[in-house]
Amino acid sequence: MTVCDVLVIGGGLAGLLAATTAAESGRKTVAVSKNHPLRSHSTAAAGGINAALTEEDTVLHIEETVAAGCGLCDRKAVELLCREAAAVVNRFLRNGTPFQWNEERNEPEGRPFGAMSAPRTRFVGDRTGAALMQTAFDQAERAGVRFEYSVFLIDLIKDGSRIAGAYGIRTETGAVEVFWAGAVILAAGGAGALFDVTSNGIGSTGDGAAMALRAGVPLRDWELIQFHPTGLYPSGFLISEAARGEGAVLRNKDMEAFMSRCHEKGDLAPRDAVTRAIVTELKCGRGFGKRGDFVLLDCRNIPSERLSARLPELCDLTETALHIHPSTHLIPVIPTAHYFMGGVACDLDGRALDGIGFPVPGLYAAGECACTGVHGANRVGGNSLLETVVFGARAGTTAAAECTGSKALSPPPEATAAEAAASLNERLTPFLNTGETGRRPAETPLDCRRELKEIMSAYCGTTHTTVRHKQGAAKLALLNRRFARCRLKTDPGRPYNTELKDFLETENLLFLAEALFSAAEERSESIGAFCREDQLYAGATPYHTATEWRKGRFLTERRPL
Amino acid sequence: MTILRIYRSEGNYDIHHLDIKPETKLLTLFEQIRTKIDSSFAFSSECRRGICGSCAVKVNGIPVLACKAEIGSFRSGVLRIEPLNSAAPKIDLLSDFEPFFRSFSRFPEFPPPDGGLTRHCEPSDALRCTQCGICFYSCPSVASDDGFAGPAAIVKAERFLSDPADRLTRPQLEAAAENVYQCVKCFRCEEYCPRGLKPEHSVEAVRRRCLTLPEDSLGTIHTKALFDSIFHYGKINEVFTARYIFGFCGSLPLILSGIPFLLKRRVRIRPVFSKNIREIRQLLEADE
Amino acid sequence: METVVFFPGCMPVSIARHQYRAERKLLKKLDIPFTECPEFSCCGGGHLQDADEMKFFALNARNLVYAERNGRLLITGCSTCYQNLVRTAEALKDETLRGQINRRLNAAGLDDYRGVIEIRHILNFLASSEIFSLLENLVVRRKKQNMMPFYGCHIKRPSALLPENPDGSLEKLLTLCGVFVRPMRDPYVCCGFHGQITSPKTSASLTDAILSEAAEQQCGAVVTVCPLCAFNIESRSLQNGRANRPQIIPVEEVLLKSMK
Repeated sequence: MTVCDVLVIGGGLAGLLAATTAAESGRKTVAVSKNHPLRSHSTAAAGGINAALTEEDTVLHIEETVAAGCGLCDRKAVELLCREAAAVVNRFLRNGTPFQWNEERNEPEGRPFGAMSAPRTRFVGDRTGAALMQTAFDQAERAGVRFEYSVFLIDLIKDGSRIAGAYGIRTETGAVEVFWAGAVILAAGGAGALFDVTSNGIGSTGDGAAMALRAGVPLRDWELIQFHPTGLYPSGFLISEAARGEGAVLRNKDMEAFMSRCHEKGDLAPRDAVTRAIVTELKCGRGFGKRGDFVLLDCRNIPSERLSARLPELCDLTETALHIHPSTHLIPVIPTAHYFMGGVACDLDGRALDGIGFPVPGLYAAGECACTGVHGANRVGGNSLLETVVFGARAGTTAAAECTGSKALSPPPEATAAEAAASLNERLTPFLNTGETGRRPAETPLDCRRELKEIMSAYCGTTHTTVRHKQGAAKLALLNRRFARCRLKTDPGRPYNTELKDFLETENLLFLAEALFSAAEERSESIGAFCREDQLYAGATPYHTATEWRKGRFLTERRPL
Repeated sequence: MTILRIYRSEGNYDIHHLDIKPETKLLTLFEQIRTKIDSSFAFSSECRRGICGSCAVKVNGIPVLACKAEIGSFRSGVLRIEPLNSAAPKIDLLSDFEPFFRSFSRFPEFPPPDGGLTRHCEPSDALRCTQCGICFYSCPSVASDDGFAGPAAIVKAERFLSDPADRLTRPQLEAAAENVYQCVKCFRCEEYCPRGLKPEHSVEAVRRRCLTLPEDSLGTIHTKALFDSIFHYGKINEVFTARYIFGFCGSLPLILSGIPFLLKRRVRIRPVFSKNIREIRQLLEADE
Repeated sequence: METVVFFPGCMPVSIARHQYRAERKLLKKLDIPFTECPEFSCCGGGHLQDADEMKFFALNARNLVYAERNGRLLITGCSTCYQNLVRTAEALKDETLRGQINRRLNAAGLDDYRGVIEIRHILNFLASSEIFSLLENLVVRRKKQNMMPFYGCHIKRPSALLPENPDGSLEKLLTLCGVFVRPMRDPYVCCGFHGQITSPKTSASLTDAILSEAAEQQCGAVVTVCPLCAFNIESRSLQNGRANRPQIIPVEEVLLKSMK
């Protein structure tokens, strides 16, 4: 058992910032993640971090973020986000992040990005996330954060109504580990792995969101999922918006640069608009390929030196995956599941909120798994890194200030560890390999996961209809029954048990998929990234959805802003 | 037909005979094995596109990233697949990465000493490093456990050299000076780096910076000895360098150890000078 | 045949003269006209770049200038020289850098480096089909001995830089001489020479691994292609004072001894 003041769940950028600020406030901080922070999905962030460096530009940044959010943004949160941006970038600069420099203005270079009128996305090649992560990780280590980077957390632990820690499995030993803390910060990222075509890594399984749901904390706007317009066909690997920022153009079958027809901002329209335009092109039969299921990204007008200097990852990706170079070949792209705007609802200081808007004692959230209201119904490219940094740090500060220090904690109930082990045991018992095989050979969790991805992409993907939701939910119910027949081949206590991890992740994904269907059905009009084919226009008053796990089923309700 | 021999535990390999297209990625194959053949087969992967560095394994002794390596790129039809860190206890293709990450943190980013915001380092190739550990686990100096921080850490340290704010602080540079001379210049790191980085160039750059330290170390003396020998003779003169490094008495054992070679008529006692040595000296003196 | 420029490197002329003699004799027997410039300097030994990279380029560019005066092909029997010369030639393909280096050369009274010389390692040269067919006619005596071919690192790595892949060429030459080739697990392992002084522990462990593999394979001899490897392995084995020390023989000597 580990006792600490602040427990941070997740080792991405939001988690690191939260942990650093908590530790800098003198709190004993432990950051737990299932993978090393430098392997987290934040390192895949490519294009950059938005930061307006002048007052004038800050105002513009706020307006553009709110406009792209389609009325669902929390204006106060957006203002906070944009106003802290310059300070954030300066802090990273001072600590060593080598942003591309603009010699003339003597400030970090800005790159044009979608939905924005001024070039304000600061970047390090197309590996901005990795650069920020390296700086943030070194800062966190210096601040004295203890990292536990191979513990797969399973559930939160409650002490009365207070969230008092979490338990999970240590990968190298297979043993159950309990973390008992004064405050818990959820920063476990999104659930992109729900989809077949996704820019996310296979580890983005929404474990944090699932944990919150199971602990009775609702998810806000869970159905609002951003599909990035340019994922590499067919895998969905991310091709950064920076490509279009540097001048690349989307083309359809007739080599028409269709975005200039579809939106006044052309290829740099907000992501929801570009994605919708691509989906429309494909629907109208103007897609490429035998099945007409992709469009092309044309980078040939970017000088090749600029390509290799500013977009090396893009060149590397197309080289590895397709053996082509973007300066000579067009790149096949499709929209790809990218970012969950929704998540655990938070106030401006990172406190997690329950269904009626009161803080959940002891629980904080930041990053993609949180919903602070800065993205509304459609996130602006370059704002997610900014959000993780700004709100990650805020959550850390709040948690450090509000937590009952571990010394003041009532001595953790000795029984907690045993209880945790028992509840895990209870959860796993039905799935243990008892030798009986039944009529059909049992399936593996990975089979179920693959099928789940197909269901989600087909029935709850870029476009929605009530009919498809119903069909999808029915299929999901069937899949859930099949998952119940899965059997673990190995002993759950085995060291490096990736099978168990696959199993628990798949369980989380199935759980979140059900929540997603429930939330999506409640949202009855199109808004931002959420596109309903049976009701194209947004209603008069925008609203949030809140999805809660209550008495064994999901319940979604509308909430006013 | 490709034959895969995959490490499972000590002395125990799984053998799969598979018909695979040559352009199949190794990682796809692992995933297929885990889904279709054995759900307990353990390996790690994350981004599946070569930017997270999770999936490094050894194929026939050569370290690769499984998500980037294509089956057809190996000349042999039999692929022996093993975990990257063969020294640590391991299960299937997983092993402890702690030593690598610990070493990678040896040169952390620091705010510049004056605390102010000045210009910053250039975006360098160093940031393309994905911390896959391939260089670390193929480095003989790391393997001999000499306290070497490993190529990736040196690449990271080199990044701070180009910084006008001089982020490689004095204590860090001193730590680096102890470290960077452990490299034996075998170029394995450069050969295997899946990102095409050049850790040996970083080693050279850091060594150049070490020469600016006020105190000499064995490493800097060694470099200076060779430089001076070339300056004097145009060649490396073994006796000269040995004396330079270890002093007259200190170098005696080393020089005497050459006697067997002398007896085998392999040694020319009179020193060899390059002709036109003046040109060499001028080139070595020139500073622009 | 055109005149070949022979670049011996420092060690063969000072403390590995057996290799130097063997190389010269071999070239004579093969009837290959060659010149060796007395002006040649050290290639930097792999360490000059640790002091100053521009001076390293300048020094090697000077060597290449002298080579260009005398022929179009340079061969060297030292892997480190080979790697450093190739590295210089590759770097100087960059116009700006070549301009800077040429200015330095001119200031020292030298011609421009033009970048027309081809650089080859003597092993790759000997194993190339043209020369190999000459060797086939010359090699007569068969050496019935177990030998372990050892390449070392700088002849192959970094392969992105070096123009030729030496895989199998040493085995090919040894088989021609009738040697029983006992392959190493990894013939491209580092011998540790460049860490001899500064990283003695690593260096010793590397060299010992080679020696113990030779003992395991019951090889009377290890065949090398680089004087630095040869010297390092041999002095380590003398230091260890093992009873059954393997002979360390440069490949040129093996070839020469198999001829009339």
